[in-house]
Amino acid sequence: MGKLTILDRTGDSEVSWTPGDVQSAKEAAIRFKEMTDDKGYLAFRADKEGNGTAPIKEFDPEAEEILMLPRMVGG
Amino acid sequence: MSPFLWFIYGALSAYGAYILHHIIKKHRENKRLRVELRERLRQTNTEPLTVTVSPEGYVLRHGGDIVITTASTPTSGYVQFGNGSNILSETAQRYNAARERSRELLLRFLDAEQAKQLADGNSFITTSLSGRKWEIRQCGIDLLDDIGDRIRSYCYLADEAEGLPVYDQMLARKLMVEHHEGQILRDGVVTYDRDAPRYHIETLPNGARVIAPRRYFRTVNNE
Repeated sequence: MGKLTILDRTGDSEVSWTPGDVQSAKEAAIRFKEMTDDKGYLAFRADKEGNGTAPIKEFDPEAEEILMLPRMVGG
Repeated sequence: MSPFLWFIYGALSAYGAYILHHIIKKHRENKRLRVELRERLRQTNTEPLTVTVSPEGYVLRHGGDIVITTASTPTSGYVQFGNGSNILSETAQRYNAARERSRELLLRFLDAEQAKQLADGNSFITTSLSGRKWEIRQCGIDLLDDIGDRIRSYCYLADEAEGLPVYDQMLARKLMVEHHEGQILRDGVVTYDRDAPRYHIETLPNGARVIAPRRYFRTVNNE
């Protein structure tokens, strides 16, 4: 089971998918693309224990968890 | 009683009546505003609570209203709305729940040492790919030297329209430091620079030299 963890005002919201289940992975991929392309979110692949993260540009159906951050700005 | 004393008596009575009238008027106005605010909050109860964090402090907005603004960012504890209405209490509960959820998420991405630093001082230290050490704080990021002294502070945060809880902001800064350090150095707003001159020196047309702390020359600094 993989999940998109999207940081938002509630803390975070999750979109999960099951590896091998094409439909759920496709829905997660669409959400990933919406967030990155339309809203400028940044994506990081992570394992579930939080050990090690890596930036990614494309949806990875094999990832255990993908963290999504809003656009970062100087304040 | 002399006419003069009658005059004084009349004038004082009129002044007293005038003051009383204004006190009653102000009281009614305050009452009207309280009712109006309560109604507006009821109407906008579905609006999200947004939190804007900056070096100057933080602002909570509920709907179109600024609910709380303060000059210092809370380093611990949670928002309480005192004896306000139930609507405000619900808003506070939502904010606190989001804050707690973001804290749990952040802790998943910290090692034991960083988690201890967070518990002790509400900040933690992480290292970028370039080997630089950064202190992630609730309200910004500090670039540190080899012995842990602050070189520079940056204000760098997730797009404020998203109103992220404070620990989500810290997680976002951590990931940016670790993977996109260049963006922070390029886009972050420097709020402290150890190596910047502390004094501004300017020569006036008459040849006199003015030396003063840079804060008195903010306009000059911004150019």
